[in-house]
Amino acid sequence: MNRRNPFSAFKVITATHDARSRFDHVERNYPQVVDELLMKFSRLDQDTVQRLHRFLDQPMYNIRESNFNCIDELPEILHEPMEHARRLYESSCHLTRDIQYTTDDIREFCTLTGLSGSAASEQTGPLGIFTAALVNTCSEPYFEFNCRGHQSKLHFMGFGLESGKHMVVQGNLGHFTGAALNGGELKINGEVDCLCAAGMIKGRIKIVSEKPSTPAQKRQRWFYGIPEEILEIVR
Amino acid sequence: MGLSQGKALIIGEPGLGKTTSVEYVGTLLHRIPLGTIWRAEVSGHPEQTEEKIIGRPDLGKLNLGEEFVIWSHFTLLPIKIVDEINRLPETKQSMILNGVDRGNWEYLNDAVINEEYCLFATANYQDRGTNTIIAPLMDRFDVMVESRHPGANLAGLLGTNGNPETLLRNEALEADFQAVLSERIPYQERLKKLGTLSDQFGEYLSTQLHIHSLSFEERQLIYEQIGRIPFDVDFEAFLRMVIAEFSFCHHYGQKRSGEVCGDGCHFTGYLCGAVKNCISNRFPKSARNLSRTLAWLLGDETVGLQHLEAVLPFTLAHRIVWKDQNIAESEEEYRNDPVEIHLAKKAVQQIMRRYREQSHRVKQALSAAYSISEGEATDPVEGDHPLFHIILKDLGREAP
Repeated sequence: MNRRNPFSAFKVITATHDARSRFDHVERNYPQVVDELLMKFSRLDQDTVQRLHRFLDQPMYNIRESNFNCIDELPEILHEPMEHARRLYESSCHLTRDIQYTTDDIREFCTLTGLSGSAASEQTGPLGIFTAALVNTCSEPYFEFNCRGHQSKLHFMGFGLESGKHMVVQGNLGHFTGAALNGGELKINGEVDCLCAAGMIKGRIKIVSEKPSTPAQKRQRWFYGIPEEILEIVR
Repeated sequence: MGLSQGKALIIGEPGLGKTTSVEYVGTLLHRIPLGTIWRAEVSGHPEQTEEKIIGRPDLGKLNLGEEFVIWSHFTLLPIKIVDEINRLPETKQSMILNGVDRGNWEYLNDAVINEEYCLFATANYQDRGTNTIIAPLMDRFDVMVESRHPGANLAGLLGTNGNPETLLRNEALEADFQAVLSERIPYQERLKKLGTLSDQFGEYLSTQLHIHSLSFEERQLIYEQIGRIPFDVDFEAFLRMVIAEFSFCHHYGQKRSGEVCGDGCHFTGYLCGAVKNCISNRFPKSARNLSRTLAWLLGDETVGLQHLEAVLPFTLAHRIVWKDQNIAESEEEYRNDPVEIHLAKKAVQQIMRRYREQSHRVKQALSAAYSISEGEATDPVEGDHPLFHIILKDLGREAP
C-alpha cells in the first residue's frame, strides 16, 4: 500500500516560502550564530521562567514600598524573584558559553525575539536576563540598544552587569532594571519601572528621563515613584 | 460560516441578536423566506423530543403496519438553527450529535443525509435554566463566537427604520415552501422542488430589495473554489505547533482528561501544562476549513499564517479545558472577550510568539522529517518545543 508521507507539505522549503512570511524580520537571512542563540534561549528552564513571570505579572503597587529609593537591603518579598533571575542568568551564561557572538548578534537576537512587536509578557523577564548574560560574556565591552517605540518593555535589563561593561539603552525599560549590578555602568535614556537597582552590589546606573508631557506620563511617574528627571545611583 | 458549511456556536447575553442574525444570514445565503426559517428552528428546552427535532412516524401509516418517517423541517432545510441549545438537558443533547457532526439524521430505520448544510446554535450565558453543553457536542462546533453589544451609538439606531423582518418574509412563497416540506416524497426530489422555490425567493430579493443572494450553482462554485486554495508552508508548520502544544504530554505520552501533569516538568511553560484535555481531531479540520474560507473571502491565493491566526482563537475557545488556576488568573484581567475566547487569544499569541522565534528551525525539522521518511540518510533537527519531540517520535527516534 502506498503510504502518504505525513511531512509531504514540507518536501521543499524554499526561499520563496520564507519570503512570503509576514515575519520579515524573522525570515531574513541572519547569521547562524543568532539561530543558535535563539535555540539556547528556548532551552531556559520553563518552570523558572513561569515562576518569575508569576511574580512580574502581579500588580507592582503591592511592592511599591520596596522601590529603588529604599532598596539598599532587599526585602524578603524580592528574595524569590531575584533567586529565579539569578538561576536564569547562570543558566543563560552556561548555555551560551561556547558561542562566539558580537554585540550586533545580540541586537539581532533582541529584534528576532519579537521585541519590536509585542513580546509575550512571560518572555520579557527572561529576555532581559538572557540579553544581560550575553552582554556580560561578550568580548566587546560596550553595548548600545535602541528599544524606542517597542511595545514590550524588558525587565531585568543590565542584570549582574560586571565591571568594565558599559550598556546604554535608548527607550523605556521594565522592572528590576540594573538589578544585581556588579560594577558595570548602565545608562538609560528613558523611563524605568519598579525596583530599579534591586540587589545592586556596585557600579553606576544613570537614568535620563524625558520630561513627562502628558498627565498620564506624570501619573505613571508618580505611580512608580520616579522623583526626578535625572537619577543617578552609584554604589 | 455558512460558506464553509460549518457549525457555529454563538454565545451572548439575551437580546443581543444571536438568533436574529443567523436567521437573516440563513435567509440570504440559502434564499429561504424568514417565515420558513422560523418554522424549521429548534428551540432548546427541557421538554424537547427527538420527534420534534428530527422526525416522527406517520401514525396513519403505522396503523396500517407501514413504517414511514415524517422528517422535521429542521432536518430537511440546509440552514439549521438551534436556539438556546444549552437549555436542552444533557441527555437530549446526545440526540443531535450525529446530525450536527455529519448532517446524518436518523429516525427509526430511515435517514436523511444533508449534502449541503450549515448549523448555528445559540447559547445564553449560564443562568438557572441552562445546562452544560456536553463535551462531544461542544467539540462538534467549528467555532464559538460571541454576539456582542453593538455599542450605544449603533444600538441607539435600532428601530428607526421599521421592522426588517417584514422585508425578508414572503407569505406566498412561505406557503409553497410549507407545502413542499410537508409532501411525502423522496428527499432528493424534495430538494429539487425547494431549489426552484429558492430561486423564486432569490428573484424576489433581487427585484424588491435589490439584494443579490447566492443561487445553488453559485454556492457550489464557491465551495469548489474554497476547496482548491492551497495552504502555505507556514500555515502547515504553525498548525502542527498548535496541535503539538494541546496534545503533547511528556509524562503520559499524550494529554488525557483524567491525568494531571505535575510541577517540575520541563514543558511546564508550554500550553500542554495549562490545559486538562487533549485537542480533538476535529480541530485541525475546523481550522483548515475556516482559514480557507477566510482566504477566499479576502481574495487571497494561498491560505497562510494570518488566516490561521485570525480563526484559531474561535476554533480553540470551546475545545480547551483550562486548568482552574489559568482560568482564575485570567478572569480578573482587563479583557474584551468572554474568558474562554480571551484565554484562547492569549494562547494563540503565545504559540505565535514561539513560532516567530523558531519558525526557521521548525520548518527545517519538518523538512528533514520528510527526507528521513523518504529513506534519506539525514539527521533529524532537534529542538525544545513539543513538536520536535513529536517529530522524533513519529520517526521512531524518540529520546529515552
